[in-house]
Amino acid sequence: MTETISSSFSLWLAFCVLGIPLLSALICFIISDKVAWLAPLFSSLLIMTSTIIAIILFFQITKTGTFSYSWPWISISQKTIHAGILLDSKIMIMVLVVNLVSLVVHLFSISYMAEDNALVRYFGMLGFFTFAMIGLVMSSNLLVLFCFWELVGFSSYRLIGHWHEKPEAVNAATKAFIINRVGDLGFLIGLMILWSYSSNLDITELTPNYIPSGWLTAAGACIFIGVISKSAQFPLFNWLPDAMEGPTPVSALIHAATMVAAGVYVLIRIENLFTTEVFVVISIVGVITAIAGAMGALFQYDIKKILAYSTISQLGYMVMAVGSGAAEGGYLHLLHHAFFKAGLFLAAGAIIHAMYQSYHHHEVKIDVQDIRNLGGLRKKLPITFLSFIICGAALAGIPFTSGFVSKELILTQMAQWSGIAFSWKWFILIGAWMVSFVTPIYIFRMIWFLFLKDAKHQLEIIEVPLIMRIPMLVLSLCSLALFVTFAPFHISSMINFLLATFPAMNLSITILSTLMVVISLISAYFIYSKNDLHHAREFLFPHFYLDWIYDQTLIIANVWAEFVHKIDRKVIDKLIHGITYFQVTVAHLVGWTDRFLVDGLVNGVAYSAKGIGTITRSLANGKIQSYLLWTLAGLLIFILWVLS
Amino acid sequence: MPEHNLLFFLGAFLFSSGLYIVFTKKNAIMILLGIELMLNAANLNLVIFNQLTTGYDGQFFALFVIVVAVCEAAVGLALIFRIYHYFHTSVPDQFSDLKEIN
Repeated sequence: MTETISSSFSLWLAFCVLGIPLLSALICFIISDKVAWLAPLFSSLLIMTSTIIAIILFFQITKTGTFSYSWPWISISQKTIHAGILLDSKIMIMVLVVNLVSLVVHLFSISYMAEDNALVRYFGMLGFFTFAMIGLVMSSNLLVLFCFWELVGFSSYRLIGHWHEKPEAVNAATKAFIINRVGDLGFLIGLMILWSYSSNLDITELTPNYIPSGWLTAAGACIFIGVISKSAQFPLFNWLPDAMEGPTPVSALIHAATMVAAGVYVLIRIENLFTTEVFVVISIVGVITAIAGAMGALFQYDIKKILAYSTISQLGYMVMAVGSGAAEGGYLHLLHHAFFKAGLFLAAGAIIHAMYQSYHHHEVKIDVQDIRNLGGLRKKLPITFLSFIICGAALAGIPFTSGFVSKELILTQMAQWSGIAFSWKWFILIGAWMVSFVTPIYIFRMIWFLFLKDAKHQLEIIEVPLIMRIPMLVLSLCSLALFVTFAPFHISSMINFLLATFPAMNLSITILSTLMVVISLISAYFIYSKNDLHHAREFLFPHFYLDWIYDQTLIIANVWAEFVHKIDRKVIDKLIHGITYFQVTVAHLVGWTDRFLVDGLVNGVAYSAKGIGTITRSLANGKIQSYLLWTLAGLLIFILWVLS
Repeated sequence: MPEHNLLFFLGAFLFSSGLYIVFTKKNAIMILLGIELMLNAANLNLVIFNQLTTGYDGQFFALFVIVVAVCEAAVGLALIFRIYHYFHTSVPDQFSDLKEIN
């Protein structure tokens, strides 16, 4: 009896967590524009309520264990698709993260978006996004999950294009939407394959037992295409930097913390379905993305674009971890990344806000997002500086931060996976270490340009309001290792409670990664402190010949690009042309058949019908006398027939 | 009998003329006249058949037909009047609303 009571209690709480953000969205859509100033307040309040309920639910679930509830949704010829929710502590922590990040972003937006004239739409879509994301995390059925996956993509589209007066924003929104469609198609095909072989899309009940391994690989690869587009992986990551056209809090919530992590989350949820081949693809795509993103972040000047590339890199890191047998580490990194990347984005938003106010006040027209125009903000924006340092440290993986812990777990698990003997797995491992080396460099570069270096323009800058400072501080606090584990050098305590199995700590990896971060930071300091802004080249590094290496890399890259271009022109284009000609010929043939045979038949029938119709119709010409004549004729025929 | 035969031919002639008028004349009033002619041919036949039998059934029936014909002419004329009022013509060829418009 008590069990049913507690389970129905959990169900109600889960519905509240799911429903309150939707309620917030609905209220925002129905209130009139006159009371638009109310929208930020009550949507923030509602999200706060939902967060509190999520915390209660979290403790409830940790007490009672896994909770699942489902009800039949669609029935097709005795096969039923169940819609349902599945909650365990692993899922609940994600729900909690989504809620918390959404809450701080709501609070931040109150001030950041204060002068916006479409507040209602903005907060409505934020609430809707939160609802969709929580639904995605909670749902126990892949089809329901797919529906929420689409809703999440839709709200992302709406929010990227929030400032739809700007053509760039509209283009970016369209681009994000279209690229995500490609992935969604893959996801849907994967679901179809799974459905046709197992007639079941329930995540907990799906097992690879009944599915032929070839089809299982195909299904896994198709679902991974969905992940590639949603989580901005290697071939399809170019929408994410463009998505930075949206408001900065949106970038923090959707394009850093939660939505882009949905792909990784799905990978982790259905991990048992993937075959070895799919894991190989996943780890290779992940490592390519991680390195490409890190390199992109190293050379960008737009403050938000750097963070976007960094997000791509970190997502690649997580995907690589999932593909390389470090799924627990990847999941942990996902949660940590949500906090510190959202914190970095909010700090960037605070800087943009403060600089915009200041420039606006002094009527200077400069791109406030270009890091070359900024500098010396350490004293002017101390709170932002503090949270940027903490979140940046977490991103770089400095000890005593959350990023260090998860990076540690990933590297340990990957070392176990790759083994001692040399194989292709070592390249993945080397890639992972490379990313860990480059990440501190670009985050140092940002901090150097934004805070430490002297300002280019001496302007009066006012610290951002309290409502913007609190969210940043909350996220910085969450990025500290103390919040996630009590032993910063050891993978235990909090994680122990979350993960079923966790590997023994490897001291050499800990020392090596700490050493690497230190070397990386020192070299970054030498690069950027020696090199002031008069140099046009921003990555001068004469002492270590890195300059030359990059030049060579660029030349090689150019040659490679030329080569690829040639292949593209000579081979792929020809192939495509050939296919096109073939298709056109076939199309002509089909067209001829269609016109002369099929159409001829149809037209013949139609013509004969028309002819008969014309004859019959000519009798009914609307003239009374001809009607009478025909009546008489009919009567005469009748009489003759009767008489004879 | 021969005179009766002659009268039958007269009736048939009257009926055919009426029918011819109904089919060929352009004006609605002429068509109405044709109808009257056909009614009279029928009346003539009724009277002739009355001659061949005992009793006065045929003649009374002819009287009824005359009365009905008067009513019919009145209604017909009224209809033609309304049609003229509506279409500004009483030539049936010039209005063909019964025909589907296409």
